[in-house]
Amino acid sequence: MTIQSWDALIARIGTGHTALVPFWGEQTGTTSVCYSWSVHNMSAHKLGDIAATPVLPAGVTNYIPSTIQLISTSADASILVGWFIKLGSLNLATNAYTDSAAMPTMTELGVSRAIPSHPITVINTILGGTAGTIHIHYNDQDGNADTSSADSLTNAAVAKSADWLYIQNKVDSGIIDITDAGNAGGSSPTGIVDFYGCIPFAIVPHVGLATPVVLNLLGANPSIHHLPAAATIGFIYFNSSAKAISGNVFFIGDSA
Amino acid sequence: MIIDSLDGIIKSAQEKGMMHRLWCPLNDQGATAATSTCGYQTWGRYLPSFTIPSMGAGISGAWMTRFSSVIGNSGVVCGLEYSLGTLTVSTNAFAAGVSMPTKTMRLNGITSSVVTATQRAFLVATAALTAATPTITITYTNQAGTLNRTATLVLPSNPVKNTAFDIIPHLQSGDTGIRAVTGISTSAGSAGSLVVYGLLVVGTTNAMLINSVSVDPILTTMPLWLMETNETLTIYQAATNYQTVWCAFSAVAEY
Repeated sequence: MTIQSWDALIARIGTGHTALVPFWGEQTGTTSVCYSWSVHNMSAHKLGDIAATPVLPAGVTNYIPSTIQLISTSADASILVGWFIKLGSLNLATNAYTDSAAMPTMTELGVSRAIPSHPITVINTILGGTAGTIHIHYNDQDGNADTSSADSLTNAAVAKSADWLYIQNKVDSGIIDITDAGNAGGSSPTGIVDFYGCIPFAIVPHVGLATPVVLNLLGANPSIHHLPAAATIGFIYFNSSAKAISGNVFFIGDSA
Repeated sequence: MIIDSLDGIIKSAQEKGMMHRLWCPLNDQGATAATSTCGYQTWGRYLPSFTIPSMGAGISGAWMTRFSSVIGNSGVVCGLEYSLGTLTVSTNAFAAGVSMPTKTMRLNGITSSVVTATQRAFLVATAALTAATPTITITYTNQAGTLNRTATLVLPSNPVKNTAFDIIPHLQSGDTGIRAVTGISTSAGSAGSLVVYGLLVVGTTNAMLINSVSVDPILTTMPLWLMETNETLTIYQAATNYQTVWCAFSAVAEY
């Protein structure tokens, strides 16, 4: 990693080691709060994995996101922006869990380890019947196996609705993998629930329809990331309204 | 390498990797409203705390470079938290905790080691109290090292778990912080526990209305306190609500 200064970053731009990934997304209806427990009191939804890093070209070892710009038809909401990792899915009708990736292993503060995240629930297909409760089996931030407490899903929660998953009472600040999940107590439940982890870039405000969000990750309050190819950039919107968004993610190609 | 420039941050991020976390602590109990005799402003403590993880050889700590959060309403404070002392209400028994730490501090290019005092200090019900308007007396060492100072708070009856009463307005005249707590006692009560927590603040964010939250990191570009392995970050919110807070933060290694 020869880029060790602001000038070196700019030099990489000068030599064309950049990438721009455009994205757009839409939410056509109002989304739901995923869980009925009243402590889940913030509506949110995930607008899909709407930008992914391209294949690494020769001479580029990873992507350093520098700036994200977006415009949305919704205002007055905060937005969580980050690298989202799909950890698995639960089919409520069959109570079958399909495993996906684990949180990635990266070097942070001089140590190579799986990077923990608080788990996020995203409704994949609308919930039918009486949804009941769900729980997960997971490895916590230290790699210890644990099981979350049951949390009651909201009946008829619609696709893209998103919320945090209940592990806080286990005194866990994050997880590095979900190994299994299950549902119980419902009546003929249907629908699919996805689980994600996130390595966040930031939570940013969107305060006006006419005001674009510009997130500078390398200037003030830097948050410097190293992303591999096919890393999916996602957004959690902290409101429930229908909306469309569009924008770009800019990357600088890191060097060996 | 001392982090004293933007280039230094980039170099550290490249060589050692920054820490990035999504952390969602929860207050599932709410908070009992404060009065003029117990902090004026109502606060709740959010759990779990975040433990600063291990770091590589030669790394002395990490600086918070970005802290952002979203919550239903009110402001949020994130700080390195130290348990200074505990009162078991049923027995009126005090157990000493730690003293505020000695920390590396850099000012005007000079690095020095300083004995810290609380930037914020809370009396927290870590288990719900059964107590009718108890008078709590805290004996402490102040920011200058003066022993046997006292703070007195009169709490509302039966505060719920996670309620955090701001001690600072009730410190003895002239005091601004606490280095250590040497005693806590109550005038009444049969159940519950109270802990004095001291904070060194690393992030403060604001928020607006439910479902209409706008939060931007307002942390300065070079926060004051170096976060060390096994220290804990804890969130406090200035409201009675029971809810969660989504936090995203980044930190860079100093070595």
